[in-house]
Parts: sequence; C-alpha cells; structure tokens
Amino acid sequence: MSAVFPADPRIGEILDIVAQETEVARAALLPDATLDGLGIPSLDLTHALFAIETHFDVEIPVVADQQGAEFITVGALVAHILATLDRAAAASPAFPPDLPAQTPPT
Amino acid sequence: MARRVAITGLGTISALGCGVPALLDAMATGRCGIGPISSIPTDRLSVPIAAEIRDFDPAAHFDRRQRLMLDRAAQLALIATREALAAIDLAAIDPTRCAVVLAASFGHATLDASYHALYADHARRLPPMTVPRAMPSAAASHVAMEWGLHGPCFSVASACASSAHAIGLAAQMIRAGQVDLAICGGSDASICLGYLKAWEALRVLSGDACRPFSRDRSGLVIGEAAGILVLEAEDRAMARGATLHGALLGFGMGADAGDLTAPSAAGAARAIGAALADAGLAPSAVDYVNAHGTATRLNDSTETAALHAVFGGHARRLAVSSSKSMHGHCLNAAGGLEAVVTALALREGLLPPTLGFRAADPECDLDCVPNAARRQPIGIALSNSFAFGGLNAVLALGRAE
Repeated sequence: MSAVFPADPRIGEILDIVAQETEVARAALLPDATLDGLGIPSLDLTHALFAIETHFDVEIPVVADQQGAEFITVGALVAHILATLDRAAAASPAFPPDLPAQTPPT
Repeated sequence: MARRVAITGLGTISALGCGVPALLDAMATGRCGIGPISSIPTDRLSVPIAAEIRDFDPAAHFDRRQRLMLDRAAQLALIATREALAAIDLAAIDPTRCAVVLAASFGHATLDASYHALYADHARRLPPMTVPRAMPSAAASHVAMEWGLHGPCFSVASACASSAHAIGLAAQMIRAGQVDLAICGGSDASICLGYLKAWEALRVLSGDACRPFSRDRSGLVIGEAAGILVLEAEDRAMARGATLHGALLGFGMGADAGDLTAPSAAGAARAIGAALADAGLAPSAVDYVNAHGTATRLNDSTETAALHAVFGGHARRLAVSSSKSMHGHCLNAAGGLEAVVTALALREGLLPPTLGFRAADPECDLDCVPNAARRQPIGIALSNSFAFGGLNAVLALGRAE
C-alpha cells in the first residue's frame, strides 16, 4: 500500500468531503490511515458516504472489508469510491459523473 | 403503603417562551402564544395560525453533529429536560434507577422532508439519519444518552393523552419502587406542512383564536412544545434536600371504546373518577381543573358534562380553565406542558385564564377563569387529557408538604 494518493482530481474532492463531514484534518487523511485510528465513528462515515453519493450522483454499494468493518483504511474507502465512479461512468456515458446532484432539503 | 411521588423538576418550551419563568409570566398576564405561522411557508395552508415557538435557534442549544441526529421534537424534549434537571444532582442517584418515559412523537419535519425529497424532487437517496431522527422513541433515547441514565426508557403512544399517560406510568413505577427518579412528559414539533394539512382535513381547526368554553368557540389551534416533569420518591427526594415543586397524587386512565374521534362524557368521567380514587381524594377536595379544553364544540360540552357527573354540585365551585387558549393544543406534548402548568398553578396559587372567552354557553356552565388570571391558593388540581381514539388520562396533583 502506498503512502501517497495517486494524482486524480476526484480523490481531492472525496477527501475534502470526508474531512468536512468527519471533522478530521484534511492532512491526516492518508492512504494508510485507519478510520479507527483517526477516530471516525461509523455514523460520521455514513454521513460522508451520503455526501459523496450526492456530490457525484452515484450509489456507493455497501461492502464489508476483510475485518468486518465496511472500510478499514482511508485508502480502501477511496479505492472503493473510485471503482464505483469508474463503473458508473462506463455504464452510462450519457450521464457524466459531474451531473448536478439533487440534494434533498434538510 | 405506597410511596408518595414528589415533583422535583419542571421544564418547558412552548409558544409562551423557553423556560418556566416565561410560562409563569404568560400564565399571570394572560399572554397568548397563538399567531401567524412563521417557520414554514403558509401559501398552501387554509389555516395559517398556530402556537409556534418563535426565535428558536437550534444552533444555540446543539452542535452540528447533534443537529444531524435530532428532529425538532427531540430538540424540544432535550431543552425542557435540561431545565427540569438543572437543580438536580444526578450524581447522587443510581443511574440504573432513573427512568425516562416520554410521549411517542414522530419526527414530522424529518419525515416530511424525506418524502418531499423522494416524491417531489425525485432524490435518489435520503439523509442517513432519516429513520433514527423520525422514530417516535428518539426523544426518550436522546434524554437517556445525554445524562447516561440506564433505567427503563420508552415512549408511550396515546395520541393527545400520550404525555399524561407517560407521567402516570412514571409515577406508578416510582410508587412500586421500580425506580427512584423518572423524567416524564413529552414533546411534539407539529408545525410542518404535511401534518398541518392532515389536521385541516379533520375540519376542527380554528381560523382565528382558541376560545375554550365560549359559546362562539371555533375549534382548536395546533401548538408545539415540550413539557417535562422530574418525579422522585418523596422520601428519597426529601432525604437529599431536593426542592419540591409539588406532588403527583393520583392517575386515572381508561378507554371510551366508542368512537375514534367523538369524545364520551362517560369515558372522561370514569378517568377523572379513577384519578380521584387512586389519589384517595373526595371530589370536594379538588380546587382547580386544567381542562383538556380544546375549544372544539364537542370536546368542551362533553368535558363539562363529565365534570358535572363526577363533581355534582361541587362542579359549580371548581375553577376550570384551558391553558390551551394560550399555548395551543400541543398534541402529544399537551399532557406534559399542562402538567407543568398545573404544578405551577398549585405552587404559585395562580390560576391561568381561559383566553378568548366572549360569551357563556349553557352547555359549558363552569367557572372557566375567563380572560384574566386569578390569584387563589389551591391545594388539589387535576390535569385532563382526552385523546382521539377515546384514550383518557387524568393526573391529580397536590402541593408539596
């Protein structure tokens, strides 16, 4: 596992949302950092995934990591989201992922 | 012998203000909390008035993370509970012997927003906290969590009697020795479009004011509120030097088993009688009744008939007022808020008025403390709650000894 994220503008957007929703410093969101170690409760992760789904207008499927939690590291979380975005882009090229998302009123 | 149940904490937020001092001021001056709705758009409402909590900023009470978890109904319950517990040292009480029993109130605004997003905006996803915010037991859970209370915790559903049933059950748990302290009552955040439209469909809402017992009464006015009591075993409360605001003396409940919406004088009378019997009180001992008094044509005449049936000639000597004329009908929270009003009436010797009274109705021949509060020391008072579905709950309260 690498200690730096590859250059992909979507990763920056994902990490910005995670930092905002979990109130964890953006600089601490490194690929090898564990969500437990960062003190991110599952509820905050759920809010972050909702915000990311809304931002990219995709459904991020539920997965279980090999240790039972949905995601163990920030890197695993980002990889899963990128794979979801790639699949969505391939499946429906007429609807690019930067289509304005519909946000429900809060 | 059953333990006496003391009231050691009071908390409230309503259209009459945040906190007991604001409520007391309104009771004394006859201030009305009913007015034009300001918190939601009213262009689709036929009845755009309510008893609404104004100038309410959730951010002044809850941080961002808490607000994600809290529907307004739970916010109101927490604010009122904070006030009710402010003078109580919970560290002195075993948290496994502290109960939370609140009215079951849906997170209406959360549900409304989610259905609007789904059906009107065609949203592909809903906020993740939609279910835990909307669930009717959410407020009770949040109260238990904020103070780390591990005793019995649940919510009671009996429509507009929910809070009164919650308080009555909590008192019984203390009497039975099951718990030492109970936080009870309820909250309801009813000012949202879907719920108000549903109430409009029943054709029971007044378009101008709430005028209980007045011949020209025109229906009820919806309100939002929380009303919370802290109950304790009186011997334990006195042993730890607690401030006693009053006592919960009796609880009566029953079902009309008749009509889903029309009230029954016999059913109401049975519940009043049961509360007096539970408290071991003769009808003549009662000085004041905080009426259910919704200001619908049928409720007020039926409630009057029930009071005559139970009290006989004493009904004419009783003071019977409806504080709903000030704080509106707060539905699931009504019994909680009105129990706070009744406890204050006893503690302060202050009978809240029935506002909006313009003309006597022979079918409501009671002393309803019309339009102006009355200073009068009283010893025993009842708080009536008669809900849709024929579910009746009556609380008997007394002064601290």
